[in-house]
Amino acid sequence: MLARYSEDGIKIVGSMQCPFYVESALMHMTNEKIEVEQAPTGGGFGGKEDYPSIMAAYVYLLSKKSKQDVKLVYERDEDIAYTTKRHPTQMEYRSCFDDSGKLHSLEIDISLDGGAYCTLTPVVQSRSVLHCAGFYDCGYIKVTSNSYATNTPPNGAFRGFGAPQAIFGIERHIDDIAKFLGISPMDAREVNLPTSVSKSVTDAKIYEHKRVRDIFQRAREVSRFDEKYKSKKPYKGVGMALFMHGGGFTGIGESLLNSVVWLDLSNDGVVEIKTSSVEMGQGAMTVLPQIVADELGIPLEFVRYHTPNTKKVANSGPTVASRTVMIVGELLTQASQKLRVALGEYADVESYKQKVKEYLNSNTQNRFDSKYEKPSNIKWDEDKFYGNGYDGYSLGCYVAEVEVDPITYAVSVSAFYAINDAGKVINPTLAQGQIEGGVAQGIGYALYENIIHQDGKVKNSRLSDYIVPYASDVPKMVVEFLDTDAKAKGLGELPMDGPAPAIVNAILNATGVEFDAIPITPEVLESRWR
Amino acid sequence: MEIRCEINQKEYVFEADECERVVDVLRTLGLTSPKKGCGEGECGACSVFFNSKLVNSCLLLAPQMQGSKIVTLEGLLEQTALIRENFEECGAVQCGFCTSGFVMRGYDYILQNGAKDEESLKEALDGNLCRCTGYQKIVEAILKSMR
Repeated sequence: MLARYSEDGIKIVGSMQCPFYVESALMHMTNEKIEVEQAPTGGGFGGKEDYPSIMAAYVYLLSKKSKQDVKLVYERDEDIAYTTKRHPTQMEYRSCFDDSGKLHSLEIDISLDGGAYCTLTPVVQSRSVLHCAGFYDCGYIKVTSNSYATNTPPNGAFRGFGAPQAIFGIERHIDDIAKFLGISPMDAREVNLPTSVSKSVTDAKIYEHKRVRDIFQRAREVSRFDEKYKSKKPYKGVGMALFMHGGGFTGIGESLLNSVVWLDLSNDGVVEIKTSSVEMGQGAMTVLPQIVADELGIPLEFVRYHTPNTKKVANSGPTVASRTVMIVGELLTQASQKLRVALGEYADVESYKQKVKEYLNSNTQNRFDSKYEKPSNIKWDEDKFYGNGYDGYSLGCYVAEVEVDPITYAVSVSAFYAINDAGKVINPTLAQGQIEGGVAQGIGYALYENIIHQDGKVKNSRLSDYIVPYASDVPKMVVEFLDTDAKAKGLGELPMDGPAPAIVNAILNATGVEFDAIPITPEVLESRWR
Repeated sequence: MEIRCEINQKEYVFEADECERVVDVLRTLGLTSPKKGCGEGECGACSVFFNSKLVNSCLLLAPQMQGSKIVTLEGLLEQTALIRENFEECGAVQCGFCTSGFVMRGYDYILQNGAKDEESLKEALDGNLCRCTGYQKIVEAILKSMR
């Protein structure tokens, strides 16, 4: 994080996901609007959602006092020790089901460890609750949930934002039901697939019921799950997770954000995208221009992406919650349509450029905007916590194959099938990269990654004792996208939800032991399976 | 202390603190391809050739540079052109923080006549961490550069 000092004011430049959050935090402190600009430096994954506001405040104050530039760089161990982590979550599942595995009721209790300050905990908790029963058909669902203040650094956003924990809960529970009844996990899922009358945990119709069935069938076929499950070999196992992920902010969140986008047209026909959606490796500066160029029917080189800077771009909200393509992309589509209507018909690049000149000769307004409005079919009651919590859901059905080593007790993932439904895929290479990277993080979540606290402090704040997956830990995977003719939905967080339950279900298949906590390190495996 | 060494086939003479890490020295000299990812030799983002051997420059101290020959990615742009192009084409770059380290590792692997199968390559990549891509496209890009 950098504070650039000048007599006229201080400018903040730094690695962040939400420039306007930083602006807002500084405004609380200074009562003035400070210019904040994102520098595309490194990934985000949620760790740069709220924490950069704190670093920006430090450098701002030091710069103001010293009247010079101030730079603050955390060493990796400082970064791991102080920035936010995924909420450790404890869940209890009780259910009533018949001999076929059909669920009749679910009682779920979710407890989140918020750390020492509240920060993002309530919204993470909401997402956990909304995902905790998956999209299964179940008559009666009761959910209780509490968050607790503890003595660790505050927990916050990490890819999936409460959903991976809840999906782990429900997807493990389904496999426990299958084991209890002695039926295949496939059958236990199939009998509970949603129909047109099924309701979600917050009493909304599951509009996605057909898509859920399609993705389940496709994953079953592609992975040849049934065959592998029946002909099980020693020390090997196969497991599945079927899940959804709500795109965008939860509940009334998107309405409160009230996102705006701008498209600025210049004389040479160049259109500039002015949003606060940052590039952090996920591809915002590639796919957003693609969306605009496609909608306008012009070559990509006519569309530029402006670096997010709070004095220069529209506030399209934070770059979180898998909302960039789904929400901001949709707003850019609408703004592009306005621009197209203003220009009138054009057949090729030359006539486009001609139309731009004609338009700008007779109009002073070169800015085309669009503002978020809640889709009319999405109803949500924030007070009762009832209704449809998200504007759209993406779906996943993942299958993991594992091998357990009877000597070292290490688990390795030998094959992985990731079938996804996130609607239209804007850029196939980048989309596949999101899935592959998310699955790799999910493998880390399932098998290695474990923050250990001692007296409230992070004890393993280094990459030599906080272990993330290496190249050889990640198998070659099969990645597919279904329903690509539909509108684009959230993609970034989806692949974080499925791997952990699929892998732990596969470990159950391999060992006969139901593990109910992650990560399954060799020590954990050894403690229950000898 | 005064240090004399050769970096990217150019003579350098500069002042550095005895306790400074080579990655910091290089970055201060404006050679920013080595990235400080972990600072303890786990992630490979700061990889440079030190007397023809690929090493983590965060694990070397400035005095070790005395009289040495160092090559960073800036000095290998021509030699790594194909690898870098394949990284771009395969989608092996997301946030880019690990990329120069992986390009150096891939270049070294090819230089050492590494086997053209995925398993051997993945094993050779175990000194480099990537948090974004899941490694698949990096492996793809390096294998493509070997064909």
